Amino acid sequence: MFNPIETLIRSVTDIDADPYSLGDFLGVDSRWCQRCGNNAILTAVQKLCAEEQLAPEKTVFVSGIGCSSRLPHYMGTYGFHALHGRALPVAEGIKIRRPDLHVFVTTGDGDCCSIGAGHWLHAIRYNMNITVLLHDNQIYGLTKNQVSPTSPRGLVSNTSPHGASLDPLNPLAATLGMSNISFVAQAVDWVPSVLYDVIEQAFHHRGLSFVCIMQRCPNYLPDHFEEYIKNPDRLVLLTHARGLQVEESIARRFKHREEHDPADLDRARELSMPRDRIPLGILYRNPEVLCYEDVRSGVEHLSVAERMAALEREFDKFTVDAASPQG
Amino acid sequence: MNRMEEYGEELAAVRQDGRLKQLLRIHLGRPDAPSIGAEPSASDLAPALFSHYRGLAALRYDYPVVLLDHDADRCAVPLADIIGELIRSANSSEPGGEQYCRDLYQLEANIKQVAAKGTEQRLSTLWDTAARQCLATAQDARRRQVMRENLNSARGAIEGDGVIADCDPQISRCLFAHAGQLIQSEQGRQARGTLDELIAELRAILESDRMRSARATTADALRTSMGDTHAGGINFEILSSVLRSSQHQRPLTVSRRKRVRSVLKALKTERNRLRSQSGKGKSPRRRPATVTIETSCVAALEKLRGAVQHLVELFRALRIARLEVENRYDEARHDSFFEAFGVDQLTPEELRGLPPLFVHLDTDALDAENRTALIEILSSDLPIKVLVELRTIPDGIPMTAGPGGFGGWGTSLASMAVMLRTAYVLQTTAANLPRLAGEIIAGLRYEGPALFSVYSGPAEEHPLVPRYLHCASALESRVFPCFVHDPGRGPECAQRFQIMGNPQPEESWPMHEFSYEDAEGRAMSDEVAFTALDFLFMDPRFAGQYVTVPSDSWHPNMVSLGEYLSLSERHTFGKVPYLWTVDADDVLRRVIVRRGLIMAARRCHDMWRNLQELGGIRNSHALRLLEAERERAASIRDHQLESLETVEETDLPRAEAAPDTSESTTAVNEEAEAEALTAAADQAYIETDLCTSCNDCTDRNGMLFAYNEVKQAYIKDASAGTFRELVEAAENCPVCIIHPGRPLNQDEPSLDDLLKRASAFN
Repeated sequence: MFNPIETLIRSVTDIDADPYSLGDFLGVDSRWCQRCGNNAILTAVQKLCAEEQLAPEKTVFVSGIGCSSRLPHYMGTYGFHALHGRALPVAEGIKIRRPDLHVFVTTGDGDCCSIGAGHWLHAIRYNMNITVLLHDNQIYGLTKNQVSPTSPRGLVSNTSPHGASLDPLNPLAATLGMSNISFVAQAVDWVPSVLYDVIEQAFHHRGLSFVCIMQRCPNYLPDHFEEYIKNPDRLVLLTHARGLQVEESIARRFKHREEHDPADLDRARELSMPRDRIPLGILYRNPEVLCYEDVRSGVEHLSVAERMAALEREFDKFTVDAASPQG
Repeated sequence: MNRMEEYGEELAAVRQDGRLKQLLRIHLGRPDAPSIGAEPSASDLAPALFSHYRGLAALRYDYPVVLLDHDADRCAVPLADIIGELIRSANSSEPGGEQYCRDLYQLEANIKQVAAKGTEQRLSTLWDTAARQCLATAQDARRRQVMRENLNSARGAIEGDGVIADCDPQISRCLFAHAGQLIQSEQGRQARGTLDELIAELRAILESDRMRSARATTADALRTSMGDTHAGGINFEILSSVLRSSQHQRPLTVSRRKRVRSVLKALKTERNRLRSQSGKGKSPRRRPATVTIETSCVAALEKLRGAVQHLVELFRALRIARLEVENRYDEARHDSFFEAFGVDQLTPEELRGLPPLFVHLDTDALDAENRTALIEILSSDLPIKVLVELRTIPDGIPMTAGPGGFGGWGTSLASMAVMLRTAYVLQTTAANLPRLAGEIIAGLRYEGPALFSVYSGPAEEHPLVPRYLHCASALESRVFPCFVHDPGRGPECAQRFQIMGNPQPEESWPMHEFSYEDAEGRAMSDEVAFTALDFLFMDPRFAGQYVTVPSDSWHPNMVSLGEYLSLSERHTFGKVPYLWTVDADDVLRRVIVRRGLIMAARRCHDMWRNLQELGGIRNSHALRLLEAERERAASIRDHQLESLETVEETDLPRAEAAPDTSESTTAVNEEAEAEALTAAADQAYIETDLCTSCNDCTDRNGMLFAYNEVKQAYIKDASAGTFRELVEAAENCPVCIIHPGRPLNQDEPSLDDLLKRASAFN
């Protein structure tokens, strides 16, 4: 668990401090179901924080509501468990006020693509330097088995006893259809090495990195991804010199590989459309897109006394002098 | 090596340190010990850890307790729990909810005040009194009205009523009598039910015989039986002749009728006796008339022996009744058996089914005759329930400086009784009786003998330490730990014996954070152990063993008792153990403990350690076995590694010199390689880099599976789990990366099935 006092001591004696290990980023014990895919994502981000030596007091995980949104509790960093669908605006608020912080957003398919869809699209457009992880399990798990916007057509759930009647929303295609997009990637929780590599690339990208992670829900969709887990032939690994580069020992596990240049938006859009195989890797990256925090700087840093004085000055403009004659 | 050489510099340092030498003289109780501090009077000081509990009346704890009527499973419930349940069931977030809680807490405080005065009243009566007191404090009529409604609504929600008892010298006997009365009523009800059933069946036998008799089928008898309603419609003369002509069954023989009547009479007498015993509506609190409690084991045994003839007659009647009801009584066979029926024919089940006898003994009453009788009871099958109340612990042996023992006959009684195996045994103190009421009921329900060894504290309360706290400290200090031995739970020690209700049972002594201010007013904090010597400090018999030391005589070599007791004998050299105490004004003082008591504390610890082992905490047999198993597993692993290395070494020359290799060498190498491959395949392993950290295997067995530094699972110790666990983990792993190998233990149950299941993952 993050201990502010210990961190303070560490910051003043930083020269002698031990490097951070994964253990420094452990929060409370996870309460997700056993075998839940969220655990793999949690481990990947904890590993990233340790590998990148991110100071816990300089790192924030922001979430909305849902199973995935419990993740900040399990991190030994700062966290903000926000309102349903509102993880992105909260993260943007943090980033614009404290650009020095490493801001991550963990959000679910309901939180991001349903109630938070408006914020999602605008956050992509704003392109602030935030890493967004969409845990897409294609079901509402926390509220116990209802269809989500990404649930496949025909899925029988508590709210669709005769099967879901609409085709699912495609988060990758929707994101790639927006303007100002700068980083779009996809991973699956059951291939931890690729998941880590994708998140690492997302973290290093300056701008809003949107990573869609297909995530298993062992309780409500236990067999949903089974064919992809048991048959890696249903996955296609996207690699490129400017994109994902994985070790050969990992790469050879994938029968299908594609050299995909992340600068190629058209091909990225093609890859994002429903196909037999799930693409894993970086679909699109454009480091040239301006970040919102660069075009519009944050609030001036004022001391409390300066802030009070400024407020007083503003209030003084509306002062009514009781002694002055009426009318 | 002589002493000087062994201790060398330490001894020289002590010799040169005059102040330390003086403290050591006091600790060792030397005649030449200086008088640097006044010996504390036990009544002036108390162990420092008690300082937080001075205002016990303001705290919510297990007393007072309500002895609820009629429900054995909830025979004693702390008042705080009753109020707590009421508050939990109300919604404090609703308007007025907060006020409801406040009113109930105020009422609870008022009830406690009255109960502390020792008045013997029922909850309902005390509730009304306390409610009136609360209402009198209300500021205005509106507030009074709200409070009245709150208290009335809460009172209506209370389930049951009973006498309120505080932690006073009578509490153990009271609770015992109350529980006894409930069990007696419960067993009485069951017995009456059995008797009623048999009586009804026997009556039916006689009635059906009567109905078939000539007298019952006369026209007049039939007319009377049918009543006037059918007088005009039925010809009873014809009916009588029809019935008489259609009777083909033979009537009861004279001897059977006589026997059934005799048994029926015996059973009715017994049922009437039980009815008169049930004592409807009487409160058990300080009215033991409802349950007879003997004050001597000798008397209890005599009473049981005196009742033997009655019991023999009763069981004879019951057995005959059952045979008659089932129509299995064979006069040729059974007459002679029941003529000779005596105490020898009673089965152990029948003996255990007897109504229990209750005995209450004060340790003062434990003379040699009673001790012998108690052992006889505890080794028997007789349902005699004995409450032994201790007022002084350790008892019997005077504690003086020297290696002497710890405890006494009374203090060790329960431990000794456990070894007899047949008796239910509960040892505890009055402080946690309310929490162990369920265990008392279990003991009373147990079919054989039961011993309840309870420390109730001395008759005179310590001026600084209330009785509850004193009794709780006996438990806390391990001087009188709590445990239960219930033979009814199974044949194995792990099933029968439990150490329960002891604070921090894994530790030698319970550790507590202790905060205080030093002489300069700086906030200090220390971790302090509560040891046997904290408890003995309150006993005036040991006042001479503690010496207060003024702060100007303190020395760096003074170490707290907990730390001192954790040191080996060798490392205590030159150290002076002290106890933190406080006076009535909460001024901290260090008190040196004499050497003799240190030995006593170590003995007390040894006894606690023995209980820990019996209770399954760091059991030395288990630890030894575990160590042996670990060594065995390590040796198997080493052997397998060696064989793997052998293959690697032999592989190289074979590859280089392949053309010249003789057939025999190749065969040997192939054999070694195959063996090594088999050995490797036999080992369980995980494809760690593919692990998704889902916690399934690590939650299953954290000794067998563990996470590495980047939270991905590996086999930590294959010998720390079963093959079944490996197979089940493999089956449940969402990414199928666990390979169970082959079992280490060839004797594991259902191995064939497990191997079949494992083959899918190997």
